[in-house]
Amino acid sequence: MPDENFEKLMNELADRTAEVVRPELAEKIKGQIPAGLDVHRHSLDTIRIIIDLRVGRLVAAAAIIIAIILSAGFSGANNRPGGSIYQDSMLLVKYLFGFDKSQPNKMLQDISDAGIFFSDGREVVYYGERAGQDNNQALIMHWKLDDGKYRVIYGDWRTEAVTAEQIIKLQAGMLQTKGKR
Amino acid sequence: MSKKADTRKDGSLENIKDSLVSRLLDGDKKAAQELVDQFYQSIYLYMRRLGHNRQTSEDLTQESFLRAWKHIGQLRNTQALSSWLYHIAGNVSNQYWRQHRGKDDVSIDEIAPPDDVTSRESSRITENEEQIYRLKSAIEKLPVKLKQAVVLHYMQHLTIAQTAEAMGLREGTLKSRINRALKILKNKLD
Repeated sequence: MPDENFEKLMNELADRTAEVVRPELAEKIKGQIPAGLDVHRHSLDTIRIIIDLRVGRLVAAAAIIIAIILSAGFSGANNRPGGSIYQDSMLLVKYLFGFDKSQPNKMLQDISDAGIFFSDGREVVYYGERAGQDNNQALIMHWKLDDGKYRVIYGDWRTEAVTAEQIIKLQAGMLQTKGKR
Repeated sequence: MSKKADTRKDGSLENIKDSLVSRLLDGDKKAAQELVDQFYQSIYLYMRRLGHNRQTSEDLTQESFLRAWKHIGQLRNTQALSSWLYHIAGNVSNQYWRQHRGKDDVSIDEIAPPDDVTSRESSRITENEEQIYRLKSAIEKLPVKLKQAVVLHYMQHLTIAQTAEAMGLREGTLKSRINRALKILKNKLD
């Protein structure tokens, strides 16, 4: 079938599947617009800034985790009951900027040692301070996004959103590389 | 009064004034309302054409806008609003299919069957109409990624660049998907 005929058929199909949409739907959606739209750029921009600063791996990893926590705070998500994560995070930011490499800050160390940090159900998996040091393709950390994908950060600090299947492949690749050594 | 959705307007909606994006990024609630007025029909029809039933399509349209409000900070001034919204809507739809695998919905065949055709006697159905029904059926059976590409480009009338942006793909990758889809569809029609 010639392309023109096909396009004509598709256009006709589009016309036929155009249907009446209830105007009430628009009103319903408008009623759900939050009073104050959250226009804070989420963690990705913060991550880029942190990467540009070329700080140490441990510090950068902790800062990224904090950025995620803070962005969850900005978006109106609640802290865990009694956990006051938000306040702790702010404190951590202060420590971060005064971070002295000769005296590793215990709080930062705790975060990286824990490897996994939870904030409002958002699980950040950190692969450890040495992650990605010898392999630019290895993962430093990942966390789940709202759309079901995962944001990953590679050894060379590149970042991208990947599917669950892709993250399994990346992890498997890391294990294989480790096994060869 | 109800308006019949005309997705052909999508092509021109890409030219939404920058000021709307700027206002959205300033957190202007009125701009958010304008966004709803301009896009709710298109997003609803996108859901319908992806194969969701009416109720689900309404729910998913609402969910798409809820996510848009949540991620408004990620909108870029240079980005077409339509692509950004369709990207969110596509993710919402995919998530729904993942959560309701094996269940749901109506087939695309059941979407708004044209009254003039269904009421006619089968002998009067023209070859062209038969082809349209076969095309509908073939689109329904396409893998989700191919279906989204075809629906966005041919039925929601997004350009190749917009469709690629909406699907988070490079234009070359999108073109290859569309070609694969067309091959399948044409085979079913021939």
